[in-house]
Amino acid sequence: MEQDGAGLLRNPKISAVGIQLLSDAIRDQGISIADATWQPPREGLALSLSRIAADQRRINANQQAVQAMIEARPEVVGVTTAHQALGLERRQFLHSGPPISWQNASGPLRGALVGALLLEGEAADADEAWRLCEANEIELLPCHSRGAVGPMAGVISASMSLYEVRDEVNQQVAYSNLNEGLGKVLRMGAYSPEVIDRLRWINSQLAPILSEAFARHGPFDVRALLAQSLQMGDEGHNRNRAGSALFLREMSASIAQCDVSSAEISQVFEFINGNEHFVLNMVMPAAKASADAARNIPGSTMVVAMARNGTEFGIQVSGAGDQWFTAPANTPEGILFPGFSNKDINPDIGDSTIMETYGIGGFAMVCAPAIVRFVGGSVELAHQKTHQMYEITLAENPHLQIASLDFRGTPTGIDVAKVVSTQILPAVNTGMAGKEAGIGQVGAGLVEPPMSCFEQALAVVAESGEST
Amino acid sequence: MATTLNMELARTAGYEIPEGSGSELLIAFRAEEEAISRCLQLIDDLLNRSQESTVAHETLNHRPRSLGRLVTDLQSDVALISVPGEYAAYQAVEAIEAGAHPVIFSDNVSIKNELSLKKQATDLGLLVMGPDCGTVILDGVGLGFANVIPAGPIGLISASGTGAQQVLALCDHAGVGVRHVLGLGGRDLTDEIGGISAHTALAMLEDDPTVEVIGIVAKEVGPSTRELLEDAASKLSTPVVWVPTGDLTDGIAQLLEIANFELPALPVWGSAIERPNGSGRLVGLFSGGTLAVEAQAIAQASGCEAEIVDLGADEYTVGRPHPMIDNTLRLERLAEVSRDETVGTVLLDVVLGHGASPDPAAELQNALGDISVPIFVSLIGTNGDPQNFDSQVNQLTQAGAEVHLSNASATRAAVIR
Repeated sequence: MEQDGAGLLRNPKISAVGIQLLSDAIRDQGISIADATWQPPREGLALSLSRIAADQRRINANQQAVQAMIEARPEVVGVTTAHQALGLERRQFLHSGPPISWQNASGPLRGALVGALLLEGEAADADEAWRLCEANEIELLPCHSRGAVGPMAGVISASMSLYEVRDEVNQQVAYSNLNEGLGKVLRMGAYSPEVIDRLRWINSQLAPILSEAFARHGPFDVRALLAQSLQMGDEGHNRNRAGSALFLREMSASIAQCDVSSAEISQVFEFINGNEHFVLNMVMPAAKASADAARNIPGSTMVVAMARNGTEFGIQVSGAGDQWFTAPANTPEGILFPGFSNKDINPDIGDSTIMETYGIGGFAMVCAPAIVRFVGGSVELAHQKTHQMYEITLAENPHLQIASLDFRGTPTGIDVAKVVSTQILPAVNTGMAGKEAGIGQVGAGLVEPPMSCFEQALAVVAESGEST
Repeated sequence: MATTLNMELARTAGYEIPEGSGSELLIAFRAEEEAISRCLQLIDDLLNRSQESTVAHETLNHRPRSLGRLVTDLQSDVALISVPGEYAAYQAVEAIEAGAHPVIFSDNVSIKNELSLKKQATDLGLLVMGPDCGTVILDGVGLGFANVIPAGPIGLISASGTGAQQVLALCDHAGVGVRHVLGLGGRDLTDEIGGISAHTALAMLEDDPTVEVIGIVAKEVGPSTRELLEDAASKLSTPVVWVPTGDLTDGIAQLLEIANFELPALPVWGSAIERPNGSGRLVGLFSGGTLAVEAQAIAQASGCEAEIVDLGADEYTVGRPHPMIDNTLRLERLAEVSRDETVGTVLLDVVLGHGASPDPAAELQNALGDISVPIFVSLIGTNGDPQNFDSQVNQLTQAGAEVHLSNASATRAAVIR
């Protein structure tokens, strides 16, 4: 590329990091200069950062990764089943987060697995289901390993209905199950008869109606829905009220035309109306399909998945293949439903951090003033969170804009190098599940990912650059 | 938005409108055929620019931790990096990623990192200055250790901090301004780095119409790097002059001559003639590395027994400030010299300018007063320097020193003694 000295050699604008005296000496000449407030991170990280700086693949690799994610245009194309789409067998179960065994699983994941065994008719009651699990009679796989994502426990079993989300731009596909609503639900670890009945209704009634409606409507543009809902007070993770309403608005004509009784259609409308997170299970696979296009780019330090299994927090990074970098999950803090206390909260769980991976959720907190109580109660704090996220991301998504920041694009593409260098952790919004199996949701709030995941990932990509 | 209504309205207004949907943006424009691609580019730029960059830095409601973010938000051209060396390469790559030319003041950056940074920057049309870059002047603004000098026809490429400062001091004396000093770090012109930044700097200075003569001063130059740079220089319309570190003053005289100026007589203040004739060896206590190299070369050529020490070398600066900032170590050495009867003559440099000690002559005055043998000082500074040049001269001559503006001239006077 041709050298351009114009900016350098005429009245240059200067930024600085390091010794204050040097900046002051420039100020003394009447020149304005801005200082970054960076401080060295803890000892032992310098080697990875120097290696990363020497990796000539990184700048281009990261641009390629983040552009692929941004340019993705995921659409819901229909409803399928886990058996049909993913080849899941009767005793195979997907779960959220990095790989885990029953023995290490937390209460909500165990509860959800018991519920799924009941749903599949593999056990007559909860005790029998529990025994099957204890006897290792089931196979556990991460959702991410099969192109899927699941909120909270994220348990997906063979008969479950799934949304199929496709992105024609990057030729990606991703799946998620259908959202059950709030409170006593399988994804939060509840498995009482009302939970199983609701799942059966979803499979037998809701899924066929939606399937027919999608067929009539044609592919449903999720990115366009998110672009609008972010300007209507959603952040796309803990608040999906506007998005769910927009979904219903656009789909209602197609749903109403389905060849079933008006009572059944009314039930569908009522269910969607009663579920603020109805659209979450469409935006999550949309985010996954987008992020998957950024996988496996050698030298890229961009995060392509963040996910928790209730025991561990794990991330995957583009330049490190499918390797998970894990550390014990922290326990979320936030607002509890009446009757619960802090000791009831399970450690962080769920694949829904794919939303932050995609640059919204906690990253777009400033879009959702209605739920700022989750982040400590003020709109100003929400602003600060979002501003901080621009420090650890590679780009601004021009398709998802933040109205109150003069339509600045959302901070997109978490760079593990920037996370480690600035010691700023991704802001993650989350639901909170009860610690004991069978309880269900106890609240919603905010959680910090463990820094160690990002440090490990950085070290591995840095090491890979050494041999090139 | 490309709603049915809006598309209908646009069609009625005579625009050709492709099929669209309500979730897409409709932008219509009339343009000459050849202007269409520029219009599309402009639209693209407007849609994709960061809103933050339209905000003035004073009103940034958030003070970024990361250099990359700061550079992007403020659209800075230059990033000055002075963090501990082990982190400097990463900070520089953030600056490069964000589109700024890094000035790396930090030292202890590996050759591997330096090479990689310079390659990455070249791909993006950026110039890496450093690592271990002490002196930079950009359009008259000094970064690091820089003397104050009016803008003028000379553009300097430097792989030697105090070498560049000697150029500034003598140009100022000749009344000739220097607009830029592009400090590249001491290793840039070695064959290991191959002058990657020097080639970029040459091209940039060639493109600057205000630069009439380009000077190159480097502590260390690899033979094949020199050959390639001379070849590149020969293709430029701007004349390029190499200032050799074996005799900076002589090189500066040539540089000025090419610029159609003359180096006036080299000034000397005070005199060491009255002092008892030193019969022992010459001891040189330097803060500037290139000045020490030059003194060594001149002393050696004259066959004089000399002990020249660079107190700014890494072995002396671990865990303490550089002698250009703080003279503590030099004061200890001067005290030893005052008691050592085998020392016949003392030579030292005092470097002024931004970043240097605010009053070095005052720091040195008492220690110099205790020395009875002849003392020669090369005072590297300009009339505009914040330390006040005349006051530095007065304090040094009062302490008994003979003060020269040229390090070569000070060294020659010292070796004759």
